[in-house]
Amino acid sequence: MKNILGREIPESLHNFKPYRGRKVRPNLDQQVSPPLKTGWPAKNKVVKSLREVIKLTGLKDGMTVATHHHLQDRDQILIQILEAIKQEGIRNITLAPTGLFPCHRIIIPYIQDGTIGHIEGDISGEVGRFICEGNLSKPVIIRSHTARLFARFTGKQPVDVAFLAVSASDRCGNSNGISGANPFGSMGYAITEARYAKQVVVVTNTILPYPLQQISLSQEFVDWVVEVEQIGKPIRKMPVRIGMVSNPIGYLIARYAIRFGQAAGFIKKGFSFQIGSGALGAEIGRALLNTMKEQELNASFISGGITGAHVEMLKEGWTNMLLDVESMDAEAVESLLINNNHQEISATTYANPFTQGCVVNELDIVFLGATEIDTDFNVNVSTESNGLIKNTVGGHSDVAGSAKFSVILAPAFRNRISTIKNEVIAVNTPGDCVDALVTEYGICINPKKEDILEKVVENDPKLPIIPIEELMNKIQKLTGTPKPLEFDEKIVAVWEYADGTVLDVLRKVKI
Amino acid sequence: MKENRKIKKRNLFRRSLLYVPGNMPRMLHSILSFDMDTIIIDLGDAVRPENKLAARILVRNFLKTYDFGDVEVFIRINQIDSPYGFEDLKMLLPEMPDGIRLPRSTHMSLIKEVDMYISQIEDELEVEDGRFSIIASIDTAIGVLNVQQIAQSSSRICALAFDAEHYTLDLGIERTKENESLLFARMQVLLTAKAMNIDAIDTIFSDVYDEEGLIQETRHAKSLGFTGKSLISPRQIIPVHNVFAPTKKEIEFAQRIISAAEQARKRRIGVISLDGKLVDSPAISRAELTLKMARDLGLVMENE
Repeated sequence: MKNILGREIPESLHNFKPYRGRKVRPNLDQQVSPPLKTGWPAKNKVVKSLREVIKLTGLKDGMTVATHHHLQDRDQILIQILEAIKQEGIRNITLAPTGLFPCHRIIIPYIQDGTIGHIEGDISGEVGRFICEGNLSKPVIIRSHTARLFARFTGKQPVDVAFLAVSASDRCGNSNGISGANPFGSMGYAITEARYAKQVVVVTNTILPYPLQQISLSQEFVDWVVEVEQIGKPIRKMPVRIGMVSNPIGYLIARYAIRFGQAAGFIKKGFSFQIGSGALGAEIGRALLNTMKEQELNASFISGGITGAHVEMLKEGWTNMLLDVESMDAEAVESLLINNNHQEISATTYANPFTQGCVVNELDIVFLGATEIDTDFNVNVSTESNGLIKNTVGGHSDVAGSAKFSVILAPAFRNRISTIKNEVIAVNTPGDCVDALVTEYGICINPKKEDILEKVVENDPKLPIIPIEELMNKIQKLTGTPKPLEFDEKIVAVWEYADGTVLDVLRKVKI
Repeated sequence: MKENRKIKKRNLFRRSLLYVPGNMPRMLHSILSFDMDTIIIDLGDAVRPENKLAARILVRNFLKTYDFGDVEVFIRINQIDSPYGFEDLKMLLPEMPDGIRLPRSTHMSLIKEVDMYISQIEDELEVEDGRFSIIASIDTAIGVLNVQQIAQSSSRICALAFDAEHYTLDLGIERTKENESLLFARMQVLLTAKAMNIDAIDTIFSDVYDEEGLIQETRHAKSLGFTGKSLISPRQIIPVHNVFAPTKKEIEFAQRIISAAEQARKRRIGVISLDGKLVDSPAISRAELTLKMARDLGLVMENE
């Protein structure tokens, strides 16, 4: 069966519905309730070891274990959890991480020995490659942040035990990500995760007296508190100082993107924006700050993954608020601790369309990256040109689908391969969620946004606007047309959109 | 594409002359995204001896493949008295760059030798005499002293470019941001260029991230009379173009020349005068370019 993007979704994937379009439509009118529990009389929640807590939760073969990724590539918890599960003799679990990062390559042996039987979560790095080589019997289900929420409150993917890393907790499980020995900032995804799991275990290296000051995750959701020696490596400082970026192509793309955003009327006084991660994110942040200073344009808020660059904007008064679902560096963590206008928000406040309204709906403009984009503006962010998964998808499609104006920034070439293709290897964000593409060779506007095209041409006639097919031909004239990859039958990954429909599947690359 | 390349480009502004290493494919293929006036592909210092041939092949293919539009392309060849200089000319001129940037322009005899060799290639390629231009780099003490003879040694020389990095090396002194030690050499190059009615190009500014410093140095160069600057990063293009932007007075004057020419054309008058002075065709071209530059920088509206 083909979905509306023309991607083949095999019938063998039963229970999956093909993608139907940007507008999310749930097929049910009632959320699945979290389990009813009683916390009276009060029990002692503090448990000495992960093995003990696994016994107490009654975790068994084949159950689902969720983890979350606020420690990102510095996480040291997942490996401890898996080792404890293995030592308890539990096998074939479904692992549901919000994200697996390069540091998680050490979990591969637990896939090989059968401790992990299936993965439903965002993956990257070597684990991504390992999965793409066909080493799991069932395909990994990759969900955007919103799709993950959807899978929770529709009961599509019930979680038996959620292990949530927190930097500090009290004995009752009130916890946050800003106190303790190893703060990592916002707990946006963990807060939501706790509401739907059958049992919730917070894992920390700092237990503070009851009640904890500054509570992000309330005790009402927490079943157990485990103290471990180490939750992760310390968070790093902002890697690139704002204003000290060194890639001239990125600088050019950022300048085009800002002129474009202004000409389209989305960068103006009081606007709100979000910037995706990656090298181009740093460039656009710098260029945007310069523009805001030069033209005295204050923003109303910045949301999403918050970096030191955003903190600098807040400090200097160029934005009124930061709405932080994930803190990306030490500057952001510190700011979250001390600045009242830097606000932690949960994943559901951030991007859950099945509510009375979420933050991303209020965004004027969002700048996101891509590894590939096709002439229908479908975006691939996860795989490289070799067909192996390299990056997490995060909330790419959620934000692109909800913001008023979504702009993809990408260099025209990567290693002599055109970024624009007739067909991307995998669709992670559908083209109807994407409004424009900015490259150093020109700006392409999605034909569905004809009004924007007229406005931009009128306001800034010098911008190099070009139809996407024409730009692709121009680039491929220089690079040649890449030979399409050949795939086996075996499906290794499935990508879900916010409403649980299937955007695309990835098959194993023929070697 | 090839055919029209045989014709020499004329009357271009040379405000920004951007160096790009000849051995970096990634940089070469992205260079045309930027709006410099002139690209200078460096086969010299940027390329190690064992890579000279590979770089030449890369640059040859680059010249074959890309359409340069209005942008000039010069090849910064190796020193002509090194084993690579003539080889560079032989292999790359057939691909029709606009010219070469000649390092170590020290003596008239040396330039004459290069000039003759290029003429030979022009004959073989069946292109007009003087198709290939030379930007002479003045980068040594002897070069500064001989600059007048150098400028007169070939009609191909379209610009003199002062190179402070090699010059200070030759003198055994440090280059400072104040540039005091360069004043005489700079003025010597500048005056010669002005006297010969060719472009005067100022030296590079090596701190890519010091935009304020770049702007100051470029302002200084402009105040002395330089018309362009050699650049080492695309980041430097916009600040430099802004400094060399035409003044309001220059724009108004150019507009008046164009409208006088327009009227003369309508009335079918051959000779154009403005304020009692004759306006010749180079003056009209220059006025057109001034206005183009002003439009590019958004100083005047598209239809003005």
